[in-house]
Amino acid sequence: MTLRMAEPVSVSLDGVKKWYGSFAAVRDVSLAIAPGEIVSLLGPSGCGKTTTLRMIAGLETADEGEIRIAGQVVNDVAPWKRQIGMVFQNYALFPHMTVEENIAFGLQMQGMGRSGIARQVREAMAQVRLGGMEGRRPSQLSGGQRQRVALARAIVTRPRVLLLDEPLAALDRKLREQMQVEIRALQRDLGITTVFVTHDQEEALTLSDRVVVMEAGQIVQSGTPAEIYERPRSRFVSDFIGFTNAVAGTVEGIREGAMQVRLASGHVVPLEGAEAGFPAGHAVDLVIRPEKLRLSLAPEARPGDIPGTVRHVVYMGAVTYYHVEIGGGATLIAMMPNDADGSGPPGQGSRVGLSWRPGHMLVFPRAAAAA
Amino acid sequence: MTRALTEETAAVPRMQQPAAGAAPRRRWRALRQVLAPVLLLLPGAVLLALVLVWPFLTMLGISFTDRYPNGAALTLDKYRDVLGDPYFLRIILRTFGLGLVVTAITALLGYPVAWYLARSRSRWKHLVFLGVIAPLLVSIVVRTMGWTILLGNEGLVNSALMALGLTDTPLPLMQSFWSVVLGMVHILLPFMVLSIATVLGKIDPSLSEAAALLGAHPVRNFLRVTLPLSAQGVAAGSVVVFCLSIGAYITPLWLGRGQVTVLAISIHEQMVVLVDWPTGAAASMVLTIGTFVILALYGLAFARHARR
Repeated sequence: MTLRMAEPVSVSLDGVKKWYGSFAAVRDVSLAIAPGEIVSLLGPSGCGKTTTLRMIAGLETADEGEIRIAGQVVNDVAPWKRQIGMVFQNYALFPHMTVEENIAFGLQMQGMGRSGIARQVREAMAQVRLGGMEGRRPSQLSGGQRQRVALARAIVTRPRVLLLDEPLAALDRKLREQMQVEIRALQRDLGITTVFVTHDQEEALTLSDRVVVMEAGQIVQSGTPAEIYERPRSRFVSDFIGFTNAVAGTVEGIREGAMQVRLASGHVVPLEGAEAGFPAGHAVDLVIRPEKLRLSLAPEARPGDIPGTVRHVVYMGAVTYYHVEIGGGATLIAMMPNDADGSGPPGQGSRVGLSWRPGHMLVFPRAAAAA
Repeated sequence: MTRALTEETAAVPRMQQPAAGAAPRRRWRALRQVLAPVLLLLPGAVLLALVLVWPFLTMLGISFTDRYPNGAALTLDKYRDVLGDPYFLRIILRTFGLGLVVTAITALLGYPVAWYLARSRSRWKHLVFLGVIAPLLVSIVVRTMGWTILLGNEGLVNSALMALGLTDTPLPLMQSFWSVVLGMVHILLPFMVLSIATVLGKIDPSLSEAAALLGAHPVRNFLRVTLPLSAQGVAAGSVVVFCLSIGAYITPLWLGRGQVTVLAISIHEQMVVLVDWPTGAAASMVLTIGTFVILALYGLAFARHARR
């Protein structure tokens, strides 16, 4: 740990709204970020996540509501006085400056002396493993190197808050995974309060302490990555985070403490512990993650299993996806690890039984325009 | 290396087959690669040679003769006349001074307008753009006439001043270096605005946002980020404006009313009024070489930018 940051600070948004003409880009966002926390704003494009980030930076002004950094309202504080480090989606490196000059820029603005700047730039460059690149221009760097320069430039001034706008979107898959680990390690080392915007659910899950899912300018769910993944509160969140199966059904009623749902295939599925009770006759979607489905080769042997036929087998290396047709036009996809226990995977056309643990099958009201 | 090898191995079986016509086709393709650019450039090149290079070389030749036509000796006398005569020197200085002043003023006036055109999201933006390029659609003669109507002895400004009783006799608003500057700035401003706006429009707005978040106050932000990145646009606009203003004829003639003689007017006088072709040609060469020097300086200054 070479660069020591100031004491971490909190960031909070309270009833923040932003309009572009008659279009509400952000409608009533309230969010409290603890000092040192790393929070991701996740959502599809146009959900208001970038606008929210830019309002924290001061690059957009909030039309309503208050934004606080370390408890102080900053709505009227100019961006150059906010002490915020930001990594832009396209990195926004100054093309007419060398790597060294880019990183030194913020320190020069602070009025730091020449020798102090040189030392801190050197430390920041070492921290993001950029040694030897001092004299290069941004156009002579690879995508990953530009990313590192942007990071170094953002942290060298010891900002109170670090903002990252789609920081890894421009990198290829392998580099992205590597940078995810590096950014996480750097953030932990610095202990800096960090907010980042992404549309990539995997990035949000791996990088953040807390994931804030946004849709149409509003926060739809906020929680730890595990909470968001395991207990999505809506069909939108479950679809957006990871791959999900959805099967249409109709509520039959409640029997033996479990809601009974009749699927289009004719099977009646009991749902224990379904939190939201729906009246009989209500149209619902049953949603389950592929890895939560259990596949057995002897469907008749286990009572309660839903029988089906394997239609496609998609081998992915570590795991295999089985597309199981259960009748009534419905297909469930089950994911099984490819471990070598020798039982032999079910082939195309084999009859199988599907089961799951109570609580893994989620029930949502049928959306009017379900995708 | 690998590609070359595979191409070679791929070519072997083809060569063995009796594929007549393959070789001529390849030769034709090579010929076409040479011919295409030549054919594309030829009409323009011929036109340039006829209307620019040939007259230029003719003038160059005339400038070294003692008289024209029927000049005998090759001499540097005419250049000595032009560069050694205080009258001509004043004209040369005035011409290049006019170019510098007009360039500086158009750059200062044009930069904010270009900034507005490049950055504004206002719905009035296209009207401002139209306003900038509209003067280009009107002939220089008409625009200069407009200034005459405004600034002349019986012009709008003098009439207004006399009606208000601020002056009894018309003020000599024309006839001065600065009235020529005024007209030239008006005529050449669009070139400056357009070349700066083009470059400004290409600068990623997130660069100055990044600078702001790094603590740069708007003034320092502009001086450290936007201005250096737009310097090439200012330079390109300056070259165009400078070259056009040192070669201007109509505007200095009309707005200066014979009091502001620049090289173009003097060349016209030498050649048409005094029928002294060699002196006029020498003066033309001075003007042309001055332009080349400016272009060379521009090229040198921005060679490093091009390398980026």
